[in-house]
Amino acid sequence: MTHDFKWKTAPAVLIADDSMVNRKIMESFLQQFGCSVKTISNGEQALQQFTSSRWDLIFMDVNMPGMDGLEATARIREAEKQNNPPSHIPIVALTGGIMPDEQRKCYEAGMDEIIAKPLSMENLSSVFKNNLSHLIH
Amino acid sequence: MSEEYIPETLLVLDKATALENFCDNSELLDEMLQYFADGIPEKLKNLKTSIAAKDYPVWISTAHLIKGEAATLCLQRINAVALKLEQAGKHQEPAEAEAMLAVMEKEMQAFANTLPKK
Repeated sequence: MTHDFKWKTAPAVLIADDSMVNRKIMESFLQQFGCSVKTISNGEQALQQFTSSRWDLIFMDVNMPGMDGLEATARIREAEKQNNPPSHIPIVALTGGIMPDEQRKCYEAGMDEIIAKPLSMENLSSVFKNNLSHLIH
Repeated sequence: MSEEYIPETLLVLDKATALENFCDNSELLDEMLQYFADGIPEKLKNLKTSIAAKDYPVWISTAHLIKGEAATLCLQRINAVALKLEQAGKHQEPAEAEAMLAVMEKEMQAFANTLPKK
């Protein structure tokens, strides 16, 4: 099944998640939306990818071994402030729980939106509308 | 024993919801379920060794990983017991972990039995 998004240019999407199952599912879902996708498994790699490549959207798992999604997001936001003009890449938290305390931590770290697992094509569709409207025809 | 940790109403696999989440792509769902099943021995091993060693960071992260994957695949019973194991790790309560682990093994087997034989 192909999802009916008509992109001006295919979005480049980075997925940071330590679960290989979730990475594979996300990758498959996003490819069905016509996205160009790269998957990585921790916060350090997310930071490295943010620095070395151009992304339209990052899906960031909150709990990852090593540098977690909160720290990686905070560091990305810090780095963005140094850009001239300052930039802002949408970062969407992937989380197993939506407890108020966890939500607060995500937003404080600089995440734009939170989607709770289970992942679905429907909630990804909503993320695109909320964060990548400038790329949709 | 499972009833202590898992509400009776929960399903091994809520296939209807899983298919809905996968937009009726049953091929992809089956592929991901098999992929999860292939990783069961390693996950159980990591849980067992970390619980035996009271290695709480590995215990918590392994239970958390299982919880997230099970949620995505709508494996309700595995998800429920993984949550209990994660909480037990967070509260550093090893007393019941062995019993929870036994339930996890039973539920993993019950799930594996739902898959076509390779």
